[in-house]
Amino acid sequence: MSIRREETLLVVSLCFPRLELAHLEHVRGFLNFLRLAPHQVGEDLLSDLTVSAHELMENAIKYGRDDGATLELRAPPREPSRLLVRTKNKASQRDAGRAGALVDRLTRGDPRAVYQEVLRESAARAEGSGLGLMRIAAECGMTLSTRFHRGVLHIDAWSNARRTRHEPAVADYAGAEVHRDRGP
Amino acid sequence: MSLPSLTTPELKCTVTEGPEGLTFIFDGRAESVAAREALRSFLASADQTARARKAAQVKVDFGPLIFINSSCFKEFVLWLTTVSQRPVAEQYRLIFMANPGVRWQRASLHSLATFATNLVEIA
Repeated sequence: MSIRREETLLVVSLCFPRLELAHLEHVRGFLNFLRLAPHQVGEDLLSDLTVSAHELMENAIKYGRDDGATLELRAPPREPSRLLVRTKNKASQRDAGRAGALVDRLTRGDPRAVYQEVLRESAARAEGSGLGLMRIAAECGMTLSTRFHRGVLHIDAWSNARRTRHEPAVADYAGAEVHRDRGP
Repeated sequence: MSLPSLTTPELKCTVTEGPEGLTFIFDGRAESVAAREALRSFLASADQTARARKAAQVKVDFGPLIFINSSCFKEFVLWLTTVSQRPVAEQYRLIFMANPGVRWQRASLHSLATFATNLVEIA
């Protein structure tokens, strides 16, 4: 793990030299240092960042090509109220296109409605969940974007607000309304 | 039919049967391929047990669960889909419980409740 100051306020990187699912156990601990700043990063935001980091990294390991992958947490100075989780890994044009298409689908509609559609599609498929990016957008309220340049796929997940322990999360699921007239 | 069991190094489920029916308490991390495969098999057994007992409801407690990835989460989606595709008389309700202090649990269970509105309740 490396921490450095650049043009951004803070960049923390975790490099995975080999793409092995067993390495995922390090991802959650990677962000635990944020608990040192409880006034800036509350438990809800930490949960969102952790789920995002885990799902992005799992995708990078499953679909990335050799040469490893990098997980970054960025705090840009121009947008101090937002935090960014980013993965970078080599990918095929096909897999990069699939990731981009999923993100496009999420940005064209309500992420929660799209997520429910994808849950139904996923239930009809034997293998693969296709739910990782959906969880990040719909359950964590993060904003996703992708970039594919020179064979390297970047997937960014932005938090929409830096929430403290005393501020509500993007969505208060405990009080969310569930419409009971729609079946699966 | 005996109660199903799930015991892996990273994920386990405690199953109890009381006056209110079956309760499944998940503990640990559901994030590896091995955990997903064990979970798939376990949930199939859990469903068979609920059917054999003609359960009206089962309780599923996520409270002690540290993390679930999307692949393992899909196994719960499949469970709900299996139950929902039966005639209503053969269905049972699933009452999920979360640790209210853990945001991903609240969010994921809300997704399940929205997915299967007629089957799922969040306690």
